Amino acid sequence: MNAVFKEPPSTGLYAPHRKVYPREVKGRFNRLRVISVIALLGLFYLMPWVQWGGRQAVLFDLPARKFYIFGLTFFPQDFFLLTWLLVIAALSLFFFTALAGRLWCGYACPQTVWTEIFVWMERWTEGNRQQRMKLDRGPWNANKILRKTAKQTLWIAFSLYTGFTFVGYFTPIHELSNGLATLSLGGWEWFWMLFYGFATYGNAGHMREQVCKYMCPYARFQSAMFDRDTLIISYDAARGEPRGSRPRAVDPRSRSLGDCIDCKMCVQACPTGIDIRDGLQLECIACAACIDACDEVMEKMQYPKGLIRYTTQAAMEGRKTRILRPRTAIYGTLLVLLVAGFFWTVAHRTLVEVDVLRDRNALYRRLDNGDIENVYTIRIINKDTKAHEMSLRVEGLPDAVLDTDAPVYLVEAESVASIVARIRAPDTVRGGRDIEVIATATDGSGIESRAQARFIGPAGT
Amino acid sequence: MNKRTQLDTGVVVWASFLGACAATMVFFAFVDPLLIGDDDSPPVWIPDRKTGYALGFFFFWLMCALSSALTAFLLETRSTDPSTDRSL
Ligand code: SF4
Ligand code: SF4
Repeated sequence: MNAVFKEPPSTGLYAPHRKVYPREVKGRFNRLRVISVIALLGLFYLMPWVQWGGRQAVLFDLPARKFYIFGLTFFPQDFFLLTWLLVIAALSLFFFTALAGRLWCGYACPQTVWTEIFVWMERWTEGNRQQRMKLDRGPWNANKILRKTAKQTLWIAFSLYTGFTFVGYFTPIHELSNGLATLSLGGWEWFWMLFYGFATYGNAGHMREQVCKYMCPYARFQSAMFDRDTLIISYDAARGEPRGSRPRAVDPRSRSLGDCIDCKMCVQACPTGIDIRDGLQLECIACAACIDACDEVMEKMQYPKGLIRYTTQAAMEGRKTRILRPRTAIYGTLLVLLVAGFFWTVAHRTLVEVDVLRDRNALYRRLDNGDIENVYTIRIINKDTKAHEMSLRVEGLPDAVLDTDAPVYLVEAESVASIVARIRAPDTVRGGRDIEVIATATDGSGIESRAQARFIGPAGT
Repeated sequence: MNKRTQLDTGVVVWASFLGACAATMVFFAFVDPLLIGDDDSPPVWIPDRKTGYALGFFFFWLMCALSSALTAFLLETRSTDPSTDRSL
């Protein structure tokens, strides 16, 4: 583990869980998170309703094995693009972690974002931190039942709607809402809706910081990307200590006190329930709530802000922070190359692809005139938004001909045509030979696509 | 179940869920559930692709969970403490 982090206390992973009641904070970082929550969740909930060219803009149509993303259609053959995208995502996470620490955790992780919304709903129904703690301690009277029911109703309704939206990325959402209204949804739609809704409810309503502590792999390995120049949230011990309470008018230096008045606002604000003044800990998701809380106190005390602040280990030690360093330079360069390559590939992707499958039953057949025949199933995958007329031919084997039932095939837009093709060659072919099947558009669009295949003749030389 | 076993079970279920998601994605990117089976028609228990995907997902989840549970069990019950084991 990186030296920057404090060792976890020896009670370890299985310390009994205490419920955390985060105190509400105001401030610039909280504002930033609210903006981020609204933007990200807004995107998630609205996207399925966006139409593009007569259909849902973003739709992962699994039953049809097609992904639509705005004007583009992706087929299983494009799977490498998805892998590529995941590599880019992982690398950007590395890059941003090296640069800015757990920025992802504090502002963009779905866990944080959904928890934030659930905490808002908790506040509307159960009140602020003190009120919530009192309510939980108090007896089950009418007030408590009412407030708890209200909270659960909001949570459950929101979770169900979240599940509905999630499934709306896989089943056209208009169809889905019609199906829901007329109660004619399929079993799997129901199942995945409830599954995702339940996961949201559990993770954002009940598990919260425990997801970060016990379940998240990123939280465990992010420290490997940290170095002394990584942006972290830190308490300025040199300025704050010795901590202690004091009347506002008193100059702390006259009592040999530091700037920390030991009000514990930062601890109360922390959604993971830690004390940042103990040093950087693995539990810290860098949400900056403690910064906002502390700044508010500093302002009241008329001390300079920033007793807890975004800083780096290097800066705390009085050195300059280097943004450009081998680690960030390498991650950054790789990232730029991968992203550029990705867009280039998507832009230059062949719109029509051929796939050749040899007939599984027979190796070859000898015709009456002595010719050798192999049978193939050829699939023409048209990813274009227009239909194309395609013809097939074979290359790589002298005098071989490719024969299909029709001379040309119309392959509809965004669909796959399966064609049985017979390739015939004179009886001079022995053993396996590499051939190429070429599909050419006969409609003047200039599209041509090739695929490798094997032609098999009788054994011998 | 004591608290520790509960948490361990949680970790096994969760880690295998992640594994199953990845496995399902890669597997069905290359295999069309309707083309599973010897001849041209898929087995009766795959009436449509949605069912195929779901069954595949739960199958992978089960397999990953078995593997995770076995790993956890072997790690928990090993007799030597690696920090004192001189053969390591
Ligand atoms: S620790 Fe993990 S789950 Fe928690 S906010 Fe960070 S990335 Fe998200
Ligand atoms: S210590 Fe501060 S930044 Fe870290 S999780 Fe707690 S409130 Fe957020």
